[in-house]
Amino acid sequence: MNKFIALLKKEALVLSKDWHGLLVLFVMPAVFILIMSLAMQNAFDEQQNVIIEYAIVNHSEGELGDELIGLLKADPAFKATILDQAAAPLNSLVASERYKFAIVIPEDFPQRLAAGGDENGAAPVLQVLIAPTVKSYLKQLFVALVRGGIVQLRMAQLLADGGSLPQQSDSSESDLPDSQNMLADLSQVDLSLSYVMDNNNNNASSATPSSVQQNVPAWLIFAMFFVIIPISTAFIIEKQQGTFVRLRLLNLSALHLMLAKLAPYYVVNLIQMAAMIAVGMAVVPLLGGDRLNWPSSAAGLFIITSAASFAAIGFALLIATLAKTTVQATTMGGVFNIIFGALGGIMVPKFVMPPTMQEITVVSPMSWGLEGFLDVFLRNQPWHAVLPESLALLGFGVVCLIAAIFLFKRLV
Amino acid sequence: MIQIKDLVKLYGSPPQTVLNHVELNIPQGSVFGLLGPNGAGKTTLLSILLGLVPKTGGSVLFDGDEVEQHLAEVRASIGFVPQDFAFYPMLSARENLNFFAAAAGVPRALQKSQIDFCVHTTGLQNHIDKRAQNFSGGLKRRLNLAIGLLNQPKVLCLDEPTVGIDPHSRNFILEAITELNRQGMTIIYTSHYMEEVEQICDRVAIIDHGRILICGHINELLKSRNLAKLSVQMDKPLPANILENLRQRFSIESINETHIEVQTDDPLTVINALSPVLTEANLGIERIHYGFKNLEELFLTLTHKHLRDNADE
Repeated sequence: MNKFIALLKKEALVLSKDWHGLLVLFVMPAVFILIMSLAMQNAFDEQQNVIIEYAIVNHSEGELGDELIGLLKADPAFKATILDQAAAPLNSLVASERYKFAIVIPEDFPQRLAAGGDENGAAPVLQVLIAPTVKSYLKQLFVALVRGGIVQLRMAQLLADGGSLPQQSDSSESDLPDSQNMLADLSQVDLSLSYVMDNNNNNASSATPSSVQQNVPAWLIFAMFFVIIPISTAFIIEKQQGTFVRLRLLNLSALHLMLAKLAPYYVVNLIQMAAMIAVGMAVVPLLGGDRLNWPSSAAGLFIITSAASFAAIGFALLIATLAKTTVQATTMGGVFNIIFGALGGIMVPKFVMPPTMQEITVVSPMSWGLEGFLDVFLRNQPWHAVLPESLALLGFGVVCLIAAIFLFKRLV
Repeated sequence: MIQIKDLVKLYGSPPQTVLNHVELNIPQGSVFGLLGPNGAGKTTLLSILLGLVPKTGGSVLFDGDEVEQHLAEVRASIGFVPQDFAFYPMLSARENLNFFAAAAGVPRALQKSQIDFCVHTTGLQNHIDKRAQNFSGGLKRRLNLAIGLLNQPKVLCLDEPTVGIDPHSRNFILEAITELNRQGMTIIYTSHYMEEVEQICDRVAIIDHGRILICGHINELLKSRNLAKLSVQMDKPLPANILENLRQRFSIESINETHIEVQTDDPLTVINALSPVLTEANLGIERIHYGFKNLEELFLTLTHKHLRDNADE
């Protein structure tokens, strides 16, 4: 035990004297967070000038359906595509985000329009399907557009019918409603709104992060994996200079040597987490960006940070064991980190990727960590929501560590 | 103290013999030089002795115990000073010594006195709080040696402990090793510097292609009869007819107009036979030497390689 404590102290001492390495671990992600959060702020504000595509399937045979379509098409912010009834299942088109929204106009649309869809069990006027990643305000805009179209149709219908309103049978004050009541009732349009999910998704995961919500966890986890540089550099110097041989002759096992490296870098990763959250909460707003909200669960944040740290250090030790020179280690480590980052939604946010790429992100441990962080920073999930990602990261770390120990015994 | 019997080590596939039935005996209190060209098997032999590499066959006994079966005890009794600077350059000499003392399991109460002993032995007193990375080559070698002494070893293995350092530091290290041996420590020493080996070792073994070619006391080896040469230097050039005559009569190793080398285990007979021939030609003998001039020559004769040349390979 004393020997292990001596190893821990030595690792901490060596690390504390590597100011350049430590500086990189803290300055690099802080700079990335600031630059990316501020630079991408507008881009994250859901493409203000981008036209949103949606689909319409019209089962109604009457003119009203066509009239509604005409009204909806008049809005330049949304682009409607009329689909044949026999086209591909609408659910999958929306789930795959080919269309952000879809409207299904039912066969009995005129009757439903007249009834207004009500709270008493009448069928909704029509069905709106919503893609999983659509932000809530965009959904509200679209729903308002649809409601507006329906209200216009109902107004026209009412005026043509001479003013009989639905649900006015219990009115005791007047046979003819005043204009205010009439408008209020018209706005009570019952639509069937459904989020259309991929099978693997749920409602919570559909939320899209703000710029700071994306960039703080993303660059934090990227920086956590960058411990590979100081770990592998120190490790390879020890390997090349015969220090490990000397330590083995002092009856220190490979497991001891590896575990002793975990603790100091774990502390570094925790400090990185605290520092980057502070940057997101205090520095980004100072420079005009959004403020990072406090995580929904401190325990969840601690668990996912610890798991990500274990994975990052385990991976760093594996690369350090495999590499023969520091150049090899830093090259291998850097390349893997960039690939993990590119695939894992660090450099390009996952929600802007096409569906196929989104599926590929699961191969990157950085993606697991990022999803865990988003659970507590974006989706307001409880601590146990991060357990799947944390277990995956722990598993990855354990596999890397076992492989590193096995290789270490063979190569050193 | 250390007995190596019929040691065999095979590496790779198909297996290649790295150590071929090696027999060695390193007595307690000796300074034992292990010499051999690169790839001869020195490192493998040391690695097996230190329990870093498993042997294929034979036995390696340390104080009568099989090394593989008593690895922890054996390692605790051996200090190892590798050729590389096996310490942490970012840390000071004191921090390095503190760490390695604790890692070696030196009891806390004894750590300070043991570190003081190592610092004193290696003359690091004035540099103890400086970062090791700022040390000269000589000081680094001394720190390397100091760390190897921390566990108060019975046997100290030194692998090229004086490579790349100034003469002052070299002498300091050699004197320190001699003093440690005087205090009872057994030394196993590998070096490319033959004069160092001759200076501090009392016994040597020369290994090549995994075989021990020769092993014993240096003085005895230099007079080794079955390999020794008689060297005769004349005062004038030999006439051609006499040169031819000598070539036919003796096992001439090399010959030129003024110098003859004859490999023989009976130098007196050769001199008796040579003397009338030289008298008849009116030639005088300027110098006669029998045996090897030095270890380097012995090494060259046995391995047909210059050890110093190998150091750069």
